[in-house]
Amino acid sequence: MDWPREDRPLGDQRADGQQRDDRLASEEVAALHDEHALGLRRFVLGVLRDPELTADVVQTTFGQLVRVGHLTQAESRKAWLYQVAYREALAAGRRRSKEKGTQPGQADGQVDGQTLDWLAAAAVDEGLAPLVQAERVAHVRAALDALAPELSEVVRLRIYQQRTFAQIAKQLDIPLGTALGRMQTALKKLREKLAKWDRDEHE
Amino acid sequence: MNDHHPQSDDLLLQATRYVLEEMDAAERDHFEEILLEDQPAREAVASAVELLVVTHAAHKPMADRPTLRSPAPRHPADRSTAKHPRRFVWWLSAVAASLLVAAVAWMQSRPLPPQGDIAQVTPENEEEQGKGLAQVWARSLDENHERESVVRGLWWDPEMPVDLAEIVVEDRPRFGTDSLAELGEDELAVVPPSWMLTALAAQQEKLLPATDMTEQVEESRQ
Repeated sequence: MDWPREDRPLGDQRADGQQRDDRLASEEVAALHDEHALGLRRFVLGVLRDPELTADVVQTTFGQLVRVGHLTQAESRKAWLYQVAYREALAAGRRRSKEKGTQPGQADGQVDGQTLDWLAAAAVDEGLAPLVQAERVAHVRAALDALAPELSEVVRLRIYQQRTFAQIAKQLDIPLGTALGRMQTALKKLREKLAKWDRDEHE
Repeated sequence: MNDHHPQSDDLLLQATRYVLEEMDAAERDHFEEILLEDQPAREAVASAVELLVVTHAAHKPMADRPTLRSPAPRHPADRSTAKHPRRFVWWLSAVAASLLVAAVAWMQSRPLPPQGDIAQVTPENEEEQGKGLAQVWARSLDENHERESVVRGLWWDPEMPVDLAEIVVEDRPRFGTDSLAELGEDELAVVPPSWMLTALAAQQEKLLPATDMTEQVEESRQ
C-alpha cells in the first residue's frame, strides 16, 4: 500500500527498520479473522454497497494484517483493521467510480441512491449458517410485527418500498424529522431485540 | 450485534442514512471524515448494515424464503425452477398431459382408411395402401405409447417413488425373442403384422426389384 508516511496506519509507520520474521502466527490471524471478518465485511459494505468489491477489500485487509499486523498493538488491532479496511474501501470506490464514470459513493446501477438490491446479495454473504440466518430473520420479522404501526410503516416504506425519508414524510404528511425519529426508534428496538437474541444464542 | 450505549442511537441513525445514501454531499464528506478516526462510527455503519440486511430479508414474501427441503440457489439462472421444484414438476406434467390429450384428439379426428380396404389391396392403390397400413400400425403403436405416457403423466409424483413395473405390467424383454409364439399379447402388439409386411414387401419390390424382399421380411420378423 503506497500511502504517504504520515497517513500510514500505525503498523506501517513502525514497519521501517523492523524485522519481518516475527509476523503474527497463523492461528492468531485466524482468530482475528473469526472475530472481526463479519463486522469488517458489514462496515465495508456500508461504504461501498457492493458485495463483490467488499470481499476483495476485506481480503486485502487481512493480507495487510499478515504482512504488518505484528507491528500493531494487540489492544488496538481491531481499530487498525477497520482503519485499513476503510482506506482500502475508499481507494476501491474511487477506482470503481473512475472505471464506471459514476460519482464516488454511488454504487453501480444506481440512479439516485435508492436501489437496495445489494442488501439481498449481502444476506447471502453474511457467512452465517443458513438455519441461524433463518432464525435471525424470523426473530427480526417478529420484532417488526411487534412494532407500533407508525414505526413499522416507516421501516417498510424505506427498506422495502425504497422511498426516501423525504418522500415518506410527504406521503404520511409528517415532518421529515418525525419520519427520521420513527426510523431511529424502530432501529433501536430492532437492534435491542437482535442483540438479545444473539446473547441468548451464545449462552 | 454489538451492545450499544443510549447516545449511540443517533449515531446509528446517521450511519443508516449514510448507508442508504440519504446524506447530501457535505454531510457525507463530514461523516467520512469521522469514519477516518472514530471507531464507534465505523461500528455503527456495520450495525446499520446488519440491521438493514436482516430487515430487508424479513420483508421477503413467504414464497421466496429458503426451506430445508429446497435450499435457495445461488445462481440466478437456477432460481426459476429450483425455488419451486414441486410446482415446476406439476406444471410440466400438466402441460405434457394437455399436449398428449390434444395429440390423441387430433389423431382420432384424422380420417382412417376403412378396415375392409386393407384386405382389398389392388395394384393401382398398392403403394398408397402400403403407406396407409404402415400409418395404421404406427398409429396403434403411438396410441399404446400415449396411453402409457398419459398414465405416467397423471400419476407421476416426484415426491412418491413409483415402480413403473406396476403400470407397465410385464417385465419380460420386448425384443430378442426367437419366435412369435413366444411373444405375449402385448409383445405381439408391437411386432409388425404379416399383412402389413406383405404389403410393404410388395411395395418395395416395385421400387427395388433386384432386392430379395422375402429375405428382408424374414429378417425383420426375426
